[in-house]
Amino acid sequence: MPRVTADMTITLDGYASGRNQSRERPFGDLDPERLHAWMFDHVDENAEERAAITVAGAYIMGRKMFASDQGEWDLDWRGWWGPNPPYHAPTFVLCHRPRPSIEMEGGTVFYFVTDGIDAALERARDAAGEKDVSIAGGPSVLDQYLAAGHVEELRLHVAPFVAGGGERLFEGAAGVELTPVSSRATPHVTHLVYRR
Amino acid sequence: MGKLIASTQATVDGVIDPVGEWVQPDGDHGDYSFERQVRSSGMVLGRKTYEGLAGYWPSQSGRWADMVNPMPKYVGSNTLSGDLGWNVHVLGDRGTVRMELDDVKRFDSGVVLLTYLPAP
Repeated sequence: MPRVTADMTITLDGYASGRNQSRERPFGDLDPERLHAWMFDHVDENAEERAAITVAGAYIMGRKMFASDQGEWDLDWRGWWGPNPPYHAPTFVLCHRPRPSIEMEGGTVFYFVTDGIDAALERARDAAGEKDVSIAGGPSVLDQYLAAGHVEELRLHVAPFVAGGGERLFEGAAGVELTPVSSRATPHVTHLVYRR
Repeated sequence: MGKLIASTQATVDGVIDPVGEWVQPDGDHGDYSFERQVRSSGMVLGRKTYEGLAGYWPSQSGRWADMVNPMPKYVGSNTLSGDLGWNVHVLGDRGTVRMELDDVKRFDSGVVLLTYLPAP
């Protein structure tokens, strides 16, 4: 039975991104290399957790995880993810303004969904078939899916530093209760898995 | 050299106060924190935490009370002074433990427990 999963790297104080996002700085004031050091600088010791992120059959992300643009789309720009994004699967971008889908190299197709989180999840489930749907982020989109009770497995990767500000996970998910499944500490990150 | 260990319970979004039903004083976690505490040489507390504990433990009995009551308490406070009993030592300029009062203040809260623990 395919599930709805989510992975998110957060700081010790719960921030998934920084303030002042711009096209040049997708994570704003938060240093993405520091946040994701576990993923890129310590590949072998986190191989299992890394691999689990990319097994889903479809992904859902918020507009601010695709591009920092406000208002009308800049249709000449195809987002932050480069010509061959790491998803290799249909990826549904939640937004308010429609835009034609974009087919990237490697199997990633960005679809732009304007009718809300439930519609996006339905389309992602159809696209994923027998595979899981993963909520890719950012924090406010994940909060919405958590609050709606859709996330069946939440995998947090806690980077061992305090950001002190930014966009915090769980701000919009008060009252959500999860069952702890596992935890694994490494010198560079602590992996926490919860189920609904 | 001893180690200063900070130990607290928190929700997954990092809230430690006010405490609610999510706090687990019993079971595996209770045993774990008891073992950790019983191996320590004292407790470092903020003034509010101290007042909360001092208003409760001296009249209690049982394994926690038997451990907590005689243990030295190092309390960060600018207002407390004199002999407070209950093995309390007020930290400050004349601090019994050599540690920055700023650090005590920074961690001060109703439920944070800082424990001064000798290295094994």
